[in-house]
Amino acid sequence: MADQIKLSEVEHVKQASNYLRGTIDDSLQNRVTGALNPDDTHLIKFHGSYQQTDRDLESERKRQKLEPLYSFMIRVRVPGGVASADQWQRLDALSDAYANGTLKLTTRQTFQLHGVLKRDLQQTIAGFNQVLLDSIAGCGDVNRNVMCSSNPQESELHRQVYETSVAISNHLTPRTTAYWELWLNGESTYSSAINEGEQEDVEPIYGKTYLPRKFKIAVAVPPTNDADVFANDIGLAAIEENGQLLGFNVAIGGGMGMTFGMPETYPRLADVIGFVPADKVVDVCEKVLTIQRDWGNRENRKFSRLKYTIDKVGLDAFVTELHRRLGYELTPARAYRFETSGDAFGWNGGPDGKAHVTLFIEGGRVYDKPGYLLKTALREIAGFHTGQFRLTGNQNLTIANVEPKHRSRLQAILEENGVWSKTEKQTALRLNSLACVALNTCSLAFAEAERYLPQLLDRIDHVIRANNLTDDGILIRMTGCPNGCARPYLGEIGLVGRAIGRYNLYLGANHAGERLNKLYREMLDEDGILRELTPLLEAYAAERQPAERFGDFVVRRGVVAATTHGQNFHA
Amino acid sequence: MSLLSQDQTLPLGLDDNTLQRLTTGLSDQQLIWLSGYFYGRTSAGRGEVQNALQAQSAAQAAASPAASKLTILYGSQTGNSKKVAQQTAEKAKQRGVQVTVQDVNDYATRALKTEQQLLLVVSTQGEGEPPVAAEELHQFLLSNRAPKLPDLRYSVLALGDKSYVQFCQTGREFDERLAELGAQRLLERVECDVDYQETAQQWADRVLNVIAAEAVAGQSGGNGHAPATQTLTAPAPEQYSHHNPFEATVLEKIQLNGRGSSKETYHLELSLADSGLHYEPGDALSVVPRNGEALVEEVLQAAHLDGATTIQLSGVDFELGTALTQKLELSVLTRDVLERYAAAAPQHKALADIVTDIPQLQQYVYGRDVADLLREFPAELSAGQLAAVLRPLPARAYSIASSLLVHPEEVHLTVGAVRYAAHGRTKHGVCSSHLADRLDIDHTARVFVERNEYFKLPQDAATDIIMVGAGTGVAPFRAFVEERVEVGAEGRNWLFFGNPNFTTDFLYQTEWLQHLKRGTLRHLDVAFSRDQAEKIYVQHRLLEKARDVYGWLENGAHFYVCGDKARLGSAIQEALKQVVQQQAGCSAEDAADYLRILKKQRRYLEDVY
Repeated sequence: MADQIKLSEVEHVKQASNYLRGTIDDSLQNRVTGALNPDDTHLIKFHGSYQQTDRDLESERKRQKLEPLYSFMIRVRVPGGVASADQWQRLDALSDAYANGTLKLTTRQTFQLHGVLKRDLQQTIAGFNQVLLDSIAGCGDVNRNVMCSSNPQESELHRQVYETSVAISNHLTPRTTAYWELWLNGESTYSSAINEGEQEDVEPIYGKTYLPRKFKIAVAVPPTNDADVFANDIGLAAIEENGQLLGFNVAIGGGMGMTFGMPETYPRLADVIGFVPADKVVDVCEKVLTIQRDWGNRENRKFSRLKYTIDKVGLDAFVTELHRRLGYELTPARAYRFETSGDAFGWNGGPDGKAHVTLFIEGGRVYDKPGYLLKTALREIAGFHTGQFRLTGNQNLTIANVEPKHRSRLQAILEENGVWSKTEKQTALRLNSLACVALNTCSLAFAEAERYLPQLLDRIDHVIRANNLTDDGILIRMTGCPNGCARPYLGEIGLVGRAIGRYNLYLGANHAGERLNKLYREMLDEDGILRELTPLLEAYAAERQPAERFGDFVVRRGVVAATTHGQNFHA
Repeated sequence: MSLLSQDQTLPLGLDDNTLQRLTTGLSDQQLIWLSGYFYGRTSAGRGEVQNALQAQSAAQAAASPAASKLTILYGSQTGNSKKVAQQTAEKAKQRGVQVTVQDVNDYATRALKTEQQLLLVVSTQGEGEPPVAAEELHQFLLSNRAPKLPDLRYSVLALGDKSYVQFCQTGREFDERLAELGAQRLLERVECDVDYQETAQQWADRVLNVIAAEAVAGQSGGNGHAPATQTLTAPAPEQYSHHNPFEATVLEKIQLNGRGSSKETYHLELSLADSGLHYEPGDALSVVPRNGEALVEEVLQAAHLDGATTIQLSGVDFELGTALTQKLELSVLTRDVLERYAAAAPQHKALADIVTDIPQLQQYVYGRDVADLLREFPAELSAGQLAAVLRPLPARAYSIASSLLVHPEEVHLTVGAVRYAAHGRTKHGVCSSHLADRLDIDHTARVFVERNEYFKLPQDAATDIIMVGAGTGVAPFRAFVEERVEVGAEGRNWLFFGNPNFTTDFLYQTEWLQHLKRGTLRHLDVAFSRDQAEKIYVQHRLLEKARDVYGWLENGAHFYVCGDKARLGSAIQEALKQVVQQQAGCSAEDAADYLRILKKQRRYLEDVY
């Protein structure tokens, strides 16, 4: 049967890679190019890195008879987004030493370093390892970083949920030794033993060809859906009783990506299929993942995500197979309610006297510029902070468990470096904005996102202020392409790049991440975006019902029809 | 009158009337010359005028007194000495002198004892070293094995570059040593600066006059006369030179270094359309530069002179400003300029001290230009005096970066802009900044081709080549590989390249990668010195690849080095000796010998500057 399938190119590369080795070692030794051998560009993703080029310099360098300026994005896996102060300091230092001097906090609670040259890859990755971080499975056809609600106030419940996310992450991490061999100068003796056939890498969950496509898991603690669980292949909503974790409602089949001009591709939210007790959740995740491993499409990567597998066989058939593999059945989903997928900014007290402060990090980018020394401030704070640095699912940062004696010092540092005002003085619209990296490094981008959204928001903010909507959180999300890194189809306002300076405008997602938006206008330029949004925001300010969110308002007013399932996203 | 007696048979189609018509108005002497000329043409079977010269000398030799035997040796690096030697030999032949012209590299040193008349044309390299070709003779003559040469008459023409302190050092050493060995000078040694042609011609004429006069004197009652100097010159294709450069239009100008580079390197494509200019890979293109306006202004101010003042250079009137811009060297100081300036400004005792102390002199000229000199040692020179102190602005030669086969009627250059801060001002290399800053697309550059006699691809296209280029030193190798690809040479090509940073300074990277992909470059090894804590240079890569490098050499490969003389030249030689020592398992002496033989065979070739 497998022989009759025309496998995609990447499947062949994986198959031949000897558990993700390929010729990466040879690629790293090759000094005459900053790029990897073509096949290795697929494999390097499993090690947490994408080969990219500086697209701003593309034509200039071509004329200069120089190859494109190749560099690597490295994504550091941080289960639940929780990093120690030591880890923060190390990443800060590595970003200066080998990357472009900035850290990108992503929508999936990871750190990204950008602009790492090939020759510095090993030292950079080895640098993660020294503080017990890694980038394995940061990208690639495997389970990616497991997300978890970053809200730490819930104390004991949060701790248990976080530990669940770590347990899932650990269980689903690839077992190949290639990572250690390539990046950490280790295990080379082990590797030669493999060649003698005495020992072989084993991937008990994945097998030699891993998954058909990327796989994402997120865990949230209602009523906050900051992890946007329904955008994931598996979304878990924690169910508690008296502050103790009972288990999770399980949702499967979410995913954002689509391709323009291919209506058979679509974003889809996960379907809730039942409840699983806490001690069985890792098992459920494994079984869902292995069904996808076995049933997923390996011919055409555009249809390889779990969402298409489920829609192909039908949700019931999928769940039946899941129950068969589990040997038991999920029980009916418990009652829960999500209210928001945004973050709670500013200071919040914890139950143990420790406090947490959530900072708005525009575009998730940690850097310094005159008057705004965010990177410097955080470096200084990491020098004495005894708690954690928690990355939120919205590209923001919570400095968690601040000791009472550190609070005023920390606040002073934030103020002195111009960081505090960036969180305090923004419209709620901006605080709820997300943008992917896009140009100049992402090869998929058709248009700007992170570099452009702040300017666009400057103009939209005028409309917001004029209509007294300053404190109304509206989710606005921009991506440079339709693949969905900043979850644009869950934006109450979604802007997806079509071409330089041109965006499709999507409206009508709900604020809690439980309804997709719908296409409203195509190919708008900046003036067009303002022209379309202004009357809608004016109407919202004037005519909304009490506590009505913008996404619900536009649906109620019939501006767009509600999207009830991924399969009618394009309808 | 008829030249031929009536009873002689004329060739078909040629009658007496026609002959009469063709020869009307010619003197007897002219007719005799023509007879030799046409004989020469016919016997060579081709109508090339060049043969006229042979015929002429043949005709004269017949009429000449006992021919003197003359040997002309040349020790050449770039081919200039060879050119002068050959021109001198031609002149000698025209005068009926029996002459042999030979590369000193191929000259058997023991033959020296049998020579009667010897002319030696030799250049000096870098800091006073002989050219590779002359190394052996130089070593032999200066050693205590050198024979006494009492019967030898000789003269030395020394080629050099006054911007080097050890100007014409090799010529001087040969000249003085020959005298020590008892040889007699036909003529005092003549030294030429970079602009050597005129001086060299004068030397040739003078020394040949001496030889002719001696030949005549040696003939009792001889009526020998110096033959008419020149009656017929070959209508040579237009010769572009320093004084008559070709105006080449700039077709393309590209900054090759990526953003953030510490280097500034330009790729220039110039049109040779309608010039008839021809070059081969390895040749150089000389560019006649102009000094920058700012520097000219700086000099005028420092000298308290008006640029509109009229001065004379070689009898031609110029405005001082024009002369400073186009004719005189301002951006570097050389020993000769300092000497003349010191003489013109005797009040500066300190300057006089500097001029007489070579280490001090070397230190002083480093990083200083004419404006610095004028400011540090002010002297109220007139415009004419200043012009007389300065040296002519030489042309700058750049190794050509293109193959004419691949780019017909074009020549490409790789020019590194030289800029540095010294003594309070930013200094610019005169020619590189002329090309980098003041020459844009559609402007014209004044150029001429300079042959590089030896830095050439192997004759046998099957021979492998190893090329080591650092920085702009990669230029000729672009030409080499282009040419080898175009002619389908089956020999393998291996390039070692070095520069500071990989992402910004990998000159012609995409072209090399293409060659590598197609196999037209077998290996490409790169060293980027500043990409890591420790400095890594091409010589380190050479050592890393010792086994293969040695294998290629043993297989007959030619080895080329191009780049900065001080940084690259000796480092590569040392590395190569280590390669040989290590791979052949021989002594350091044997390895040095191996390298010496490579040089002697012209398989180790340098174009360093």
